[in-house]
Amino acid sequence: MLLWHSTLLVYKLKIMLVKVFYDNADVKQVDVPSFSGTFGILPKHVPTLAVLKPGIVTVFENDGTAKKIFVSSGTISINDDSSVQVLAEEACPVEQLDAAAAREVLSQAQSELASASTDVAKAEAAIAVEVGEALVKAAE
Amino acid sequence: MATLKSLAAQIKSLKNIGKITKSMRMVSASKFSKAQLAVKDARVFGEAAEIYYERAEIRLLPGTLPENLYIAMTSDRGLCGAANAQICRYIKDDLKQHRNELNHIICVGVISRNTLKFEYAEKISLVVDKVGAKPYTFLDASKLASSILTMDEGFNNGKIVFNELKSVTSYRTIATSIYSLATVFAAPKMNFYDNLDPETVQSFFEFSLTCLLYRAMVESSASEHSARLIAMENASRNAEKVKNKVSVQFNRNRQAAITKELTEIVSGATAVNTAKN
Repeated sequence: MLLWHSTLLVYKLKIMLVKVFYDNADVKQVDVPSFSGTFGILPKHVPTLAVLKPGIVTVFENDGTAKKIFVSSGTISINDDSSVQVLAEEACPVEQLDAAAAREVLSQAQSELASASTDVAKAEAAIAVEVGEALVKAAE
Repeated sequence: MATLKSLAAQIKSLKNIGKITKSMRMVSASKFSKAQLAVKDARVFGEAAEIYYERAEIRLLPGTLPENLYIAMTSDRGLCGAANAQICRYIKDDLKQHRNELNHIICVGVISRNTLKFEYAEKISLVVDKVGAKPYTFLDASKLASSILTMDEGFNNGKIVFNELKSVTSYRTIATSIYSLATVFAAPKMNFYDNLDPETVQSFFEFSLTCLLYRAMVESSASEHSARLIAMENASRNAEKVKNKVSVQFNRNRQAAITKELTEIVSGATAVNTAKN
């Protein structure tokens, strides 16, 4: 049975290249972290739009294997033809994450938050801390 | 007839031109191979962002006056065939059809500004220069998106005009439609989508705009490199051809001069000998 499309794309900051994980692929289910809560998307999900939260996107492929990908931020759109687009600004397979490097990112973000003076800088640093926390959690 | 000295100078300069175009070709070739890889992924990224616009059937509402925004994805440098000129021509043609509407132009790259400013100076609301030296990153697209969203001039209907890379040697100028947040909200099919709050839609809208811009940037710059590669290859070939032609002319002239001098010497000697006898 043709289930649905999942286009999962990612942007890697370090190497400054967009990376495509899934393009027009049929998968069973996708679990995504969004600001309205983490939810699973199955075929014929009601169309909606959502904004990604830092966390882990889990893709259950047709053969039953689950692939976990860490994402920083981005969007999810579920359309009436059961196609889903998950676009992330930065993404990386969980198994490639380095726990020590993740902790370093978090501590750097925290020190930036402490030293931020303007409201914009504070908000930016708070986002970095949020991403860092999710990154550390994902890497463990 | 050109003197030998001037021909020699011409040959030398043609040689130098050939060297320059050849090295420009090499630079473009290496830049292009990198850009081509980036295009592969950026295209999927941009197309995925476009799907939603298609599925939700976002159109300009009937009865609203279109306020068009054109984003010209050109570069700072020429010598790349008609890659940049075609983008400008596309916008000019489109502007002629929408003469009575409100139009704004955003020029990415100074080439489009230079081309469009004579006719449409008052319509250019933003110029982004110093672009294209390094490969575009998502951050560049984010910056452009935020400056578009904070612009004084509004828009409800827009087009990103860029060159889509078709193959290594060809590209085609196309446009991606973009709409303002208000138009997205007012789309007739918007009710199909569940659980929408304005903040989510706004974030979604901003992010997808960035994705579309990113794709256009990457594709346009790859097309530019491919066009420059071809232009420089042709230029090198032409320089070689003209150089050969001038070299033949130079040799012929030199030979003629030698022959003339010899004839003078021989005829002079003969005259002296005849006088003696």
